[in-house]
Amino acid sequence: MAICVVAVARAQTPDPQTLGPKVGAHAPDFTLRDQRGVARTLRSTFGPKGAVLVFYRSADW
Amino acid sequence: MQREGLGLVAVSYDPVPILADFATRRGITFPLLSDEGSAIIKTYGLLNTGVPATNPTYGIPHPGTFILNAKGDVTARFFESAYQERNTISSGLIKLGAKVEAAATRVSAPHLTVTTYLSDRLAAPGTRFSIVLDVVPESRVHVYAPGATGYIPVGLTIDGQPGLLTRTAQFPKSEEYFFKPLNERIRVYQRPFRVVQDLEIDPSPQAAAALKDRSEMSVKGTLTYQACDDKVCFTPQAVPLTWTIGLRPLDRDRANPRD
Repeated sequence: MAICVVAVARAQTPDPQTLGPKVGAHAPDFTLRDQRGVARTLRSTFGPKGAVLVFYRSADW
Repeated sequence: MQREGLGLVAVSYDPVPILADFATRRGITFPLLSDEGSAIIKTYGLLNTGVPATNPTYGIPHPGTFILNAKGDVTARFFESAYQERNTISSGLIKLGAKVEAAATRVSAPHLTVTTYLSDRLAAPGTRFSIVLDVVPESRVHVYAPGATGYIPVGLTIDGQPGLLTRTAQFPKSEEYFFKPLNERIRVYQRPFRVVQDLEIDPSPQAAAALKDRSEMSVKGTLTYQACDDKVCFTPQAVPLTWTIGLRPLDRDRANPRD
């Protein structure tokens, strides 16, 4: 029984390596507000060679 | 990062005032984007579905980093399984071959020069950072790549200590060397090469207790190798190396409470 429970818990936690755009895929553009409240597109944050796009949990905790 | 021509942008589900407060406290000037409602996190397929919708933390992503080229295509990505474990950004860039500004130590050893530095000055529990070794063999000298048999291949060992987790060192692709006198083909490095050793500050409570009140950690290791030229092999070497990483606690400061 315990083994079944572990197996179910594992199945519900996807491997993050499999989530999101893969290497070679296009990263969809989007528009969000920055810390100053200004609307920014992803593209507007690019340098000449592209960007480092970080997803993190929260700045609050 | 700007020297590398890359912009830096970070996305979380926090409302703008939380980001404004965080940016002010930390002196952050790059864009922190507010994905309140997590629409973009969902579009990217990164929503942490292990969090129940009733939980206040519902909406957080699986944290990770994408490197995008100028066309917006993903050229590299770094994701970890546990939230506290993350590659620092400079640690990720080093694996892409970028130069990172850091205080480097240069060590002259028999038949090669080693320049070594850490990817980061400070690490918190769960931070993954890297030791970088840029090794330049003397002219006409080669050292043996990992896996080469019959010789001592280049290797890096890190001394274990409480609170430090050591990952597998990464070696670049080696080249084949034909040693005529023995009619032997073997994998070597004879041009400058980079070894990257990932380390992590152990996020476990036991480790946190061991590191309590410590402001830095001294990491000791040994570079071993055997150098040869086209005629002779020299005595195997073991070069002791030391690095110091500053320790900081997890950021438990909080912004103003959510409304």
